[in-house]
Formats: sequence, structure tokens, C-alpha cells
Amino acid sequence: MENKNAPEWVDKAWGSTCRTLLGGEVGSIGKFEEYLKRDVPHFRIGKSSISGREIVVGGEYVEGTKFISGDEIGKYALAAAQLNVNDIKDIDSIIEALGESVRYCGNNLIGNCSNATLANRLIDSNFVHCSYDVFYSKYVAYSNGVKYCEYVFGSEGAGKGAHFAIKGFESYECSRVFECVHVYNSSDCFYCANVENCHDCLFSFNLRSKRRCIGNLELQEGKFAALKAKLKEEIAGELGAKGSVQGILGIMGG
Amino acid sequence: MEEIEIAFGKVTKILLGKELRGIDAYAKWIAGRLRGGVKRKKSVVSGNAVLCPSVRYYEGMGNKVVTAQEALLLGEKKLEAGEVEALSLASAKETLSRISTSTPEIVWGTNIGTLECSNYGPTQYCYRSAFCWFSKCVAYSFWPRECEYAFGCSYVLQCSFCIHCYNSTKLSRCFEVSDSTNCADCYFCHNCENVNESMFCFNAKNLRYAIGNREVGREAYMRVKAKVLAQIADGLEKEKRCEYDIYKIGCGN
Repeated sequence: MENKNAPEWVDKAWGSTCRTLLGGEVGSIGKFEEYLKRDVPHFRIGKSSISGREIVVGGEYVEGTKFISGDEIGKYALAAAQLNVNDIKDIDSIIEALGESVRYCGNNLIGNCSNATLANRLIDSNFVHCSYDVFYSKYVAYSNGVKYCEYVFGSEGAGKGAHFAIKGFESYECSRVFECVHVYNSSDCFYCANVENCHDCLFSFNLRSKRRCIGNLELQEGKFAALKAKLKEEIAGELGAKGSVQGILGIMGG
Repeated sequence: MEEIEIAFGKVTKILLGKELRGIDAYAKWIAGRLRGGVKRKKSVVSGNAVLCPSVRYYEGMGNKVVTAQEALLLGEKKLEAGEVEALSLASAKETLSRISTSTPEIVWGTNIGTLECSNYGPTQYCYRSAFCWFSKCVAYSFWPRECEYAFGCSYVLQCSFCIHCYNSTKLSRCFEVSDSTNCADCYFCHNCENVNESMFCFNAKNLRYAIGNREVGREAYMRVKAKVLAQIADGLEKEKRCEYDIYKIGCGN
């Protein structure tokens, strides 16, 4: 299912995130959908057997599974009325009695959730689009495994407290990350892998407690700022022009 | 390893009424439905084994993985000033090739008796699992957090004494349960909340002694439960697997 028409808030949040990370907006999010979905396990789309609506489903469902949407549970009744406990001999007899009335749930929103589109397994989260397994977060799109985060796009395993992340994989307690893997307690990192307690690092790997690094080389403030601005401009330019940009995994040679 | 065997025995005794031993003999069944597992890769530097969670972003790194100790040493390698000045997106892959490695071997805090796991801590007696955080006695699981005595579970938070539970929080003594929260002593349930001593319940809340979403009373429930558990335990003992799972109920397979 393609989703070129994301809700208005997604575009606004995407614009804010690009301004924060790249210094300017690069275009409407529809253009970047394929890029944001790249390297992120995508959800499956099922159809509600009650309303026929398309819904997001998660889990290892097999062919023939029937679904309902989380907001249709009130209309759902399992065919347990036919089940006579005295007739139950084994598991097969229970399954037979339930017949084809079993439905699995998609678009499942738990707790206080709002403004969720194409989303499943949300807990107390708001403004979530095309994502699943999002807990206590807001402004999340094309992501999964997100907890206590804000403004996260195209990410997986965004742990506690990631803010303003585009393609952040396994990020924890970090702000402003772009194309990073395993970034803990860090900020302003672009194209980094395995960095902890690092700030203002670009194209850096396996660092601990470093600041103003490019290619693992620590630079003077003025020099760093000039090179960072040049690289950010290149990233924003390419992203804006092509709707996609070389990813950290591509750079690492995968 | 003995502690993990004891834990597996305890959980099977509690859940199925029969203590099973020899966890590795059941590995295929236990890990059958996991979204990810742990793979063995080779360090690009030394050829030593690197335990790697099966997630796309580690798989996407290809062979550029190293052990945790090697990663810290490699962090000392840097580009030359000239290379940094000339760095661009187009040249990044080639220029960075001698420093662009990473490690999936992330170990936090104190860990006791944890074996063949990747990305974990603090833990006790965890085995063949990935992303184990604040957990103990967990095996063949993926992303358990604050869990204990969990086997073949994925994306579970604050769950204990569970086998084959998925995408759930706050479960106790559950078998084949998915997308549920605050449930105890449940078998083959999906999307349940505050459901206790129940089986084959779907999209249900606040039930006790229920079969197929219908409360049947304690006596009848216990009678059926005994039959169901005996059938599962017998199958496991004889064939090392259980043919029923939560994702197959009611789909005609």
C-alpha cells in the first residue's frame, strides 16, 4: 500500500526535523517515503473482515488469517456460544468450535493515542504514521520499535529518549541524529556507527566521549563548523534533489 | 548452563505441569517464531566470532563487524586532515573504508552466567538471545526487557514465566500469547487485557476462567485446562514440538 498522501502533521513534523538536522526543508515527505522505508522492516497491510478497511497488522501471521481493526472490537464476537465445555476433548475440538470466528487485531491502539494513521501496537502515543511498536512517543513516521521518542523518521530501535532522528538505528538518549547505527547518549551525529557519549561527529566509527570529529579526527571548532556546514549542505542538496541519499549501511559496504 | 536448564524445567513445570529438560533439544520449536535471533559472523579484522542480532541494520553492514574490544582499538584510527577536507558523500565509502566498522557486541552493566547473547545487560543466565535488557533466565528470545524466565519470546516487557509470548507487556505464566497486556495464566490468547486463567481468547478484556471469550467457571475451566496441558506436554515430550501456535489458531491450518 503506497501512501503518498500523508497527513498534514507528518509533513510539518518532517519539515521541523529537516530544519533542525539539515538547516532547511528538503520537500514534502511523500517524495522521501521509499528512502525512509529503506532498511526498516515494513509492516504488513491486512483487511478488516468487518469493514473491509485496510489496516496495519504485525506478527507472523500465516496465509488465510482474518483481521479486525482495533476500533472495531466492540462489534466482534468470538463464536464461543457454540462451545460446550463438556464436549471438549482436546485442543482440536476447541479450535473447531471457534470455527472461523477468530480474528487478529490490527491498528491496535492502547491507552491514550491520537492522530495515528497506518499504525499498529501503539501505547500512549500521538501523531504516528506508517509505524508499529511505538510506545510513549510522538511525531513518528515510517519507524518501528520506538520508545519515549519525538520526531523520529525511518528509524528502528529508537530507544529511550531519541529526539529528531532520521534513519537512526538503535539510538538511545540522543538528539539530532542522521543515518546512524548504535548511537548512545550522543547528539548532532551524522553517518556514525558505534558511538557513545559523542557530540558533533560526522562519518565517525567506534568512538567514545569525543567531540567535533569527522572521520574520527578531532578538529578545531572553526574548521569543524565549516566542514560540517559543507557536508550538511551536500546531504540536504542530494536528499532534496533525489528524494534519497547514500545511507550509513551503504557507506559501510553492506 | 545448568541454571538455564533449571529455569526451563521450572517454567515448563509451571506452565505445562511437566518438567522438560534439555533445552537445546527443543531449540527449533522454541525459537521457531522469533522475529530475529543471533547469528555468528566473523570479525573483518581477526576472523574471531562476532555474535550479531538478526536485524537489518546489522545485516546491512555486510562483513564490517568486529568484536567489542577490536572496535575500541579501531576507534583510534582516523582519517588524515587532507582526507577530511576532501570528504564528500560520493567519496565517503572509499575514504572511510579503513575505519568504517562497528560492533554488535554491546554489553552493559553486570552480567552473570549469560551465554551466546548479543546486545545485553544487566542480565543473569540469559542464553542465545538478542537485545536482553534487565532480564534473567531468558533463552531463545528477542528484545526482552525486564523479563525473567522467558523462552522463545519477542518484544516482551515485564513478563515472567512465559513461553512463546510476543509483543506484550506484563504477562505472568503465559503460553502462546500475543499483543496482550496485564494477563496471567493464559494459553493461546491474542490482544487481551486483564485476562486471567483463560485460553483461546481473542480481543478480550477483563475475563477469568474463560474459554473462547466465554467465562465457564473455575471447575469447568480447570477440567479443560488439564486436558489441554496434557496434550501439549505429551506432544513436546514425544516430538519436541507443539503443533499449535497462537498465529495459527482459526486460520484453517
